[in-house]
Amino acid sequence: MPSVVHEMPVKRQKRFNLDPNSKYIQSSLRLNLPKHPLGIKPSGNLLISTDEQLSKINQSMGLIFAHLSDELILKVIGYLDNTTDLCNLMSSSKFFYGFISFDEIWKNLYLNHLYDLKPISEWKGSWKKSILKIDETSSVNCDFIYSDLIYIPYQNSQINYQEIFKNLIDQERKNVDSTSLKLANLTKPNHFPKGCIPRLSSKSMTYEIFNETWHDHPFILKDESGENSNNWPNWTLDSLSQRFPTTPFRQECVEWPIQLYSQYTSCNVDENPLYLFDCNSTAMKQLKTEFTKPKCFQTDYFNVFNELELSCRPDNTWLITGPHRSGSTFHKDPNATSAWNTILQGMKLWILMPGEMTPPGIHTSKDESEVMAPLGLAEWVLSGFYNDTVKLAENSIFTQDESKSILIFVAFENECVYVPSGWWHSVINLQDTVALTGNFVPGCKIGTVLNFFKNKKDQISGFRRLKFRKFVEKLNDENQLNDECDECDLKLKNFLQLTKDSKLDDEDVGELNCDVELPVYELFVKLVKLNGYEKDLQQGLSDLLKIENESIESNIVKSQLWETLTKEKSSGFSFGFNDDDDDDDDE
Amino acid sequence: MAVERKIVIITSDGERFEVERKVAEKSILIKNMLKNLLPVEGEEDDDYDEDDDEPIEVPTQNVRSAVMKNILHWCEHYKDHTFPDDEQDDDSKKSAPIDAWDKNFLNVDQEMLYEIILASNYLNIKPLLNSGCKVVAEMIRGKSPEEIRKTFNIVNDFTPEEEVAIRRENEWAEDR
Repeated sequence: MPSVVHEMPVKRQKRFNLDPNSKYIQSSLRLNLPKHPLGIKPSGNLLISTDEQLSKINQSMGLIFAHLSDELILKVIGYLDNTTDLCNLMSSSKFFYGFISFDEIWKNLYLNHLYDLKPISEWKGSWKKSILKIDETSSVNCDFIYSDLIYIPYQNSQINYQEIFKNLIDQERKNVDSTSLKLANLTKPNHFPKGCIPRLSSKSMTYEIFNETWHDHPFILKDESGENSNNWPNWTLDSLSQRFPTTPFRQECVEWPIQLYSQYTSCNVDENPLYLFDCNSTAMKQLKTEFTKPKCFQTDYFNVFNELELSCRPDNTWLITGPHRSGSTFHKDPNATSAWNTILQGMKLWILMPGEMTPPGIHTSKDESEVMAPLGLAEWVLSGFYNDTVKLAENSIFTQDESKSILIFVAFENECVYVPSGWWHSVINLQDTVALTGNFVPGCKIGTVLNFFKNKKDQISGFRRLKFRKFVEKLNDENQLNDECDECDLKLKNFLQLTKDSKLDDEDVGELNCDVELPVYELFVKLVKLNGYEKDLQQGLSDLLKIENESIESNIVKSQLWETLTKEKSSGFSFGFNDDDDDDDDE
Repeated sequence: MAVERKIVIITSDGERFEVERKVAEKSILIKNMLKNLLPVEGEEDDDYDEDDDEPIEVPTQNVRSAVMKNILHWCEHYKDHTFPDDEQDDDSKKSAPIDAWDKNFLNVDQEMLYEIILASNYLNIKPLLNSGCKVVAEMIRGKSPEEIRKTFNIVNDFTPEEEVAIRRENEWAEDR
């Protein structure tokens, strides 16, 4: 009896296995088909099913549903808003039992309808089991259901990254051990082998060296071995859940105590597991006092938004915790900030790519105000985009620009990764992982940030309108905005005037379009000046000018080309289709 | 001077329906198609030529005339209604009840109901698709498994052991 219809592309598979140091993964992984617990199979099997099988499926689906696609069936079921209806439908036939085993359905039911009314108190391994408070589900044979919609997410949830990336992990461990890399401490970035992430001693990396030489180069900061004082706290999921058993932490769309989340991490079948990303819980406030940032990252010009005991600075320090398979798809960090990220438990795969490239499998609008990552991480890896990225990385080794190559590497415990402003990055947790991360602005990036605030206003995020206004108000009360020749002062005062009567909510400026623009650029300039960083500001402003001119130049080249083309058209030339023979048109 | 061009929708069984542009454009599929063929409404057509008197024919191979008639009836009813931007409404409007007119409109036999759902999906008429799916969900609501089977003509294909197991699963669930 046929169960699987795929064929193996044997040749390609061989090629990638030759080099044990290769970062490629087996291209045939997609064909590794784990058995679904209820026997549900990929849609392709429909093509080879017999009439008898088909009629069995149709009878199990009933008249209407037999005609609907899986997506439409999912849509109909999505309108059911309580467990009773879902359970009754599930109990009507094998098809519905199988279909409703799809945990995404229960997850959505929970998030849309049950979260406030009947919160989950104990995680039982799946959303379905946790909502129904059952330990086991029935074993029902659904091996005649063929559905990619259900099967593929299950396949993705069974991915084993440690196995897939075994070569990469082993190779990286060797890199960590090789003293050559570690001790080549502060030689210039281009002295390191391309494609390898430099591991640098945190002791010798000063702010000055970082700000002058390394700010555009990803690297890992490491405490040298032998030092017995490890700078980083040794928090683990277990220790955190013991210390803060009942404190709610933010995990994307839910706010669960870490104990419940810890149960969730140990067992779930979500295609994209919930990622704990917390900045403001009461626990986090305490935790933030228990570590210090590496000294080279301590100079941070966004601190100016903290000055008045009123902070209007966007959130910037997070605890990030996630199970194996969780992580983030390609993105750039907000407001052109740079970032550090330290692993306290577990390990992460990092993919870093210079900002001017577009990562495979990602769609962006021209100005990058929209970034779409249509695939989850596992799907992205399995469907070949990871290998495409490795290929790009290999090609980038031969490019002219020494500094800008794609980096694919694994970071381990107590390693602190530096992500330069504007770089794309995607991160996959290869184990259950606890990490700390922070966004900051070193001196050399003031110009980049000014350019972002001035020319990418619609992409500014994280500033809260109400806090922002209060902050400006306070400046005004302290008579700091009285220079009538200063454009920033004028704009900030004007902002206060404009918003005098309007009720500003405390929404994130990035969330909803507000009728009044926040003068973030002006406030930043003003604050940098007020804090006495006049020199840095001048440098930043001249960097800004440089960036703006470069962008104007590239636009001029484009528009000149356009002008030439359109001009030629109006004088009778039409893109090479010459009209010598019939020249009665145009003119 | 731009004269409103006629639009003729041709169904899978060859029937022709002449409709106003704004009726046809309730279908985003047709709207996008017309965008490439016609000037935006209200704007001058600067390269007018004689072909413009010919009606624009829109073939819809997936929809038969009996279904199209219903679909166009719906489009005609909503031709002056602007639906809010549809993309992100799904979650917020999930619990909104079915529009009364739609509910009445969709009070048809099951075959017509799924055909309307499929056609509105194909033609990309989101509000109608949403109402159609809600009507089906409504047919499930509050019913026992046996009643659901009867409603949709579903065959109970569980083995006796499976049935016992599922009943136990549900009992546990109801208990708490």
